[in-house]
Amino acid sequence: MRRVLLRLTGVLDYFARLGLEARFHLDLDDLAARHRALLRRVHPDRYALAPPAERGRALDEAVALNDALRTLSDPLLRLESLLALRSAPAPAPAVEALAGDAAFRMELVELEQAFDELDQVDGREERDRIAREVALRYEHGLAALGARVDAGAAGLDEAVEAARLRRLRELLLRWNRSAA
Amino acid sequence: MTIVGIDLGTTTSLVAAVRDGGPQVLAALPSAVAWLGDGTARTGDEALLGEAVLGVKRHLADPAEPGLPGPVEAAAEILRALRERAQAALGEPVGQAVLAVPAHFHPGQRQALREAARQAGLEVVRMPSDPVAAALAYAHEAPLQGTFAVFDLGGGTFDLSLLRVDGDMIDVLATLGDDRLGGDDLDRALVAALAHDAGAVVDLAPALVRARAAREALSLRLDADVDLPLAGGGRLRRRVTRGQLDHIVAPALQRCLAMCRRALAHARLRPAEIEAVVMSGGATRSPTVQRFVGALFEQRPRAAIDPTRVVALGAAAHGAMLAQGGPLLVNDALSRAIGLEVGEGVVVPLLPRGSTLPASAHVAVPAGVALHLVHGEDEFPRRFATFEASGEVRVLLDADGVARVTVGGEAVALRWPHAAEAGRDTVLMAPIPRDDA
Ligand SMILES: Nc1ncnc2c1ncn2[C@@H]1O[C@H](COP(=O)(O)OP(=O)(O)OP(=O)(O)O)[C@@H](O)[C@H]1O
Repeated sequence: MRRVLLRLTGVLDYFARLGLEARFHLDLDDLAARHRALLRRVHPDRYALAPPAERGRALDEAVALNDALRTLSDPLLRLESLLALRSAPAPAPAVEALAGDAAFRMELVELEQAFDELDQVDGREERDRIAREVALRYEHGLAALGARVDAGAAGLDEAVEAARLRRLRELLLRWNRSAA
Repeated sequence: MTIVGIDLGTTTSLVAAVRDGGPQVLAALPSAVAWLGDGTARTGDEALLGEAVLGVKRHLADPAEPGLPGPVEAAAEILRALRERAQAALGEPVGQAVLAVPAHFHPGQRQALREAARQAGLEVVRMPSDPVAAALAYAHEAPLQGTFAVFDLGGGTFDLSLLRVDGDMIDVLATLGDDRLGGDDLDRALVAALAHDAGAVVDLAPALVRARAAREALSLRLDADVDLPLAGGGRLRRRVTRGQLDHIVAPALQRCLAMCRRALAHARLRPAEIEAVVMSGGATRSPTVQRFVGALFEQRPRAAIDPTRVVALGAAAHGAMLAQGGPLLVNDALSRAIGLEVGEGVVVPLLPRGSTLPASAHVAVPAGVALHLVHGEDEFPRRFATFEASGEVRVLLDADGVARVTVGGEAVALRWPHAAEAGRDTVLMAPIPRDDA
């Protein structure tokens, strides 16, 4: 729980940092181009021979720009920053609400069980099918929540949905890793 | 003042500088150190006369034994020797260097290298990864644009990196590697094949040396004589053709190619979309290796710059670019995920692998728990530094992939295993101003 809270510290100005309107739907090429133009000015290579204080300030700027690009390029992290920005309920109550969502938790447990019971080799197709389904659900969930947030919604429901999506993503990550 | 470029290699170390418009190697020496009874050190060929410490690079971040010179001190001796040779060649003092580092080095190894340089009286102005340096050596000759692969096969390691040059910036897209795959494996394959054919048991260590000589000779000629000592005395003499060598080393090279395919698939690139394939590392001098690589990437790989020197030359080119402010700005990326182990075994992921450097992450930590920085994303993250702090901790990986930690803008001392002695904690540079814009 602490971790989710933490990941959001310092996130608030990422859109502003890149001179962008805070929205879920954004042009990723534009995002990259803005990042590049700003990074060029404070790039570590340009300050490698500068006095330490100046080098430190440029480094901080470069870090903030890279952190902003990394966060905003990832749809879930982008959503989470948006929700934080719109002062949606802090993730802790959302996570608690989610913890109380017995149906969703049950479903996750069943999905994991179904996946784990399948044989690595013989059950591969079925495993892939389950993983694809969850991935699809994750993608659709992101798009739907993104649209809701862009339409101005940023309440507890949205925060709970974001927390759900994070769970799905963690599941997918774990499956991916076990496949590698 | 000239900024020199340094490649601290597993077997050979080089120092280079840009002179008369182009990078040149100023000196090269075997990466060997011997400690004399009075505590002084001999390096390079002189060290090889006695009982020398070899392979320092592989052990850079290993714990040092209190009171004894460890790998960092040994590396420092090699760097000091390089610095002295560079000073002699340039006729001026040398105090700043660009140090190339293997892409797979974790922050602890990078820090150890920086510390070794400091001990040798060198300020490290930048640490580009080897593949970036190799690309910069070519970029110094003619402007690069587009997506490149750097195929690096050394004595004991293999790395494949995909880089992209877009305007004035060079980005690392992906790096894959195997630190147990290199020219040494080709030698083992050759010895095994010959011994198997003859039904003989060879005396392995000297046989490998002979096999290596034959393999290197086959880079220039179409056949070579091999003379392998047998375990029970006697010798196994054979003539090996280049065609036979191709066949014998194919399985090892296929492992390299499989990794190349994976990297391409991962980056969603077709071989034809790769602008050029740069060869780096001694083993890529072999026409056999070049042919295999050429077949996969559907083009002739570039080896016009000596693959054993290209990294040092590129590091020197980088130094010149830093001094001149261009033409290329280097964006390296994390080759491993970074996390924070809070207490025993609970790892908070901080930065995923592939994150563009520099980068940072924040974590709030409770008081009174042991904190370890770890690398690796699998189930076995490895610790590379330890510190004490509580509250909102900021972990920052600088442009060279070296870690630093601050709390409330104040630098926190990190303990590195290679600096285990008391009083050798390193506070990295000045505190970083807090990001409160
Ligand atoms: N002309 C040549 N033909 C074929 N192989 C060669 C030739 N010259 C050197 N090599 C091989 O290159 C390898 C050493 O490469 P290099 O010096 O780049 O490695 P290193 O930096 O010491 O090791 P590593 O990159 O693994 O840390 C050895 O396997 C050697 O046999």
